[in-house]
Amino acid sequence: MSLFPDTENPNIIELKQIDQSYDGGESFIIQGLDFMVEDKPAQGQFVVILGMSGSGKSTLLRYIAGLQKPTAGEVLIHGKPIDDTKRVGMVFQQYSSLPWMTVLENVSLALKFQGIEEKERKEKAMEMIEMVGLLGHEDKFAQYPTLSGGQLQRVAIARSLLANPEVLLMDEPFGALDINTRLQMQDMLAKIWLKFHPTVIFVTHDIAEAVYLGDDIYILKSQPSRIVEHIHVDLPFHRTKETKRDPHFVELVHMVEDKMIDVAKLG
Amino acid sequence: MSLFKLRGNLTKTQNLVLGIVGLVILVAVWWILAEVNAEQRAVIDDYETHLPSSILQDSTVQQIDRDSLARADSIKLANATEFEKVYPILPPPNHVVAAFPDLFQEDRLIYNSKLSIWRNLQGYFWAILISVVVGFVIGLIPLFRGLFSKQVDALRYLPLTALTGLFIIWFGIDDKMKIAFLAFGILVYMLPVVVQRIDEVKDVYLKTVFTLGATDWQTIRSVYFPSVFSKLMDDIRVLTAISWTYIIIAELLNRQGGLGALIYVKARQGQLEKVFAILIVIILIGFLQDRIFVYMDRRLFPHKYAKKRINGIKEVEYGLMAILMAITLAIIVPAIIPSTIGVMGNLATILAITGLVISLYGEYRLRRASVEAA
Repeated sequence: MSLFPDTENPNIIELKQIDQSYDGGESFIIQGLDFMVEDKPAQGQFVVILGMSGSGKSTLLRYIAGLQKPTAGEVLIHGKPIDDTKRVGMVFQQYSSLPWMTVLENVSLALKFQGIEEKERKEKAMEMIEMVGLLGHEDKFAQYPTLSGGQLQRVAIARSLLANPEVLLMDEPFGALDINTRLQMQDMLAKIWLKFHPTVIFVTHDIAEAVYLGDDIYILKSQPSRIVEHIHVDLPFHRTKETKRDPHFVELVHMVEDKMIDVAKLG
Repeated sequence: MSLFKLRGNLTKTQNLVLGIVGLVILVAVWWILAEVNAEQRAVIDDYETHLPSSILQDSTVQQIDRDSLARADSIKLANATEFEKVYPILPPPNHVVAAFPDLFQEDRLIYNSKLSIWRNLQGYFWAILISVVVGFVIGLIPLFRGLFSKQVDALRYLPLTALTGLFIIWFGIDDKMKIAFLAFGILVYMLPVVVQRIDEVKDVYLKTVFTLGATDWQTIRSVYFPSVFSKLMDDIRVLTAISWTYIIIAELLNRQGGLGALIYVKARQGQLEKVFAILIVIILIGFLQDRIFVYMDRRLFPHKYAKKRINGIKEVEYGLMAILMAITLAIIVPAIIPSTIGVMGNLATILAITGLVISLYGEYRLRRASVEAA
């Protein structure tokens, strides 16, 4: 049985038969891993990867971003090997904004790299800054504590989406935030997703977060890593605070929790 | 008793008052030490033994004559009625202050200061240029890192002051040698620091610009340069103190003006108050230099101090860049083509003045923006 539903759609992201070894092939951290995300151009999708620490979730994102190459296997985006022409934006758990640049300069960074002139750059960046709710902060330097942790992550999201609105990689982006900010950020992300319909690959170990945001949840087992569970989240498309009070939401959280425990027993 | 609490904070007034009191204490201690070491010396119009030493050593002058002259002197001393106070070890502050007019007029203090400052600037310039270029090559390219990074670290242990002889052999005895010596002195510290600063660039910034599609050169421009230079500014400031030590050493060799040469001559002539006066001048120049670096740091790297980018900061930045360009022109081109020294000097002056005007305009806009904000 395949974990991935058969569809006619081509895949936007494909990881095929990935092996990863850090000691020259003596032991494998990841072995025979397949991971596919189909392309839903106008609709987008929210894919969550769950797994324990050390299960290689972040490594998967690094492959897709082109930050790391697997020992063996193929990484394809839109059916083509990743190259230097178009990259995929990523939001990290650490604050990743360049502190010597303002919020505006940070958000428009990708456009600057593409050689787009300043006026157009500013226009597009301001639109995005408004979207993530940072209007009025654009001239501030993107550093802590001038901006709060949540605001800095908003900068990172705006920046990545402007660079590539199709795919957004998020590596535990809200892991370092306090609980209130985290909830706010989840709502904002849900809203932005409805607006742009990007394909989001979101790594977390917060199960409630995974169910709240995700359409599809994949659970990774470790040693060696492989995807062992796929859960389709059949909650309404439009998620709000009420979603979390839905009995079905609670049910799903418990189900995912149980599966996580089962997976932990595996390896 | 917050004054004695470990790492306790002082209020603004406390800070100011204590600063002034501290200065007064230092001057008072200096004065007391000077007075304690002062001597009373008899005022005698004419010592008999005050003959040129050549005559005294002349064997034709009889020993008996010398003895009788000395005897006459001691009688004069014993009968002396007038005495004056002299300071053979430590001149008091007022004497030092009083030495300044003479320093300005007879010893051409301004001219010598300019000479030293210009040498210092040139030495600094070459040291920074070479260490940044070489440092980036070693720090960024693994091939060169493997080849040279250990050797560069070892350079720090060179006993520089012992190398003056070598520099005379390599660069002659003129200005070139002095500047090369100073440049080398700063370089051996700067180079490993540049490599270290490159190592310290945060990985997450590099990953971020990579995912945003930066090329290698764009990564260098948008991450490495700002990250490394904003930290190097502090390192350069710290090295100011060392640079003055080295420039003084260099100026002692084949004395061709400059504060180092002047201080040496004045010490040999026993004009201690002038030695102290020059020392104060050097400290003031170093202090001023430090303030200028701090100012440049604030303007070129505003993110280290301010929360926002304020209108006007760009102009100041461009102005400062123009001034730095002017210095570069004035130093680099004549070094390659010596005949251009006059032309480049004029060009650099024009550029520097333009830069100054632009940055002053920027400062004006900054002031206005901060007034409006308040």
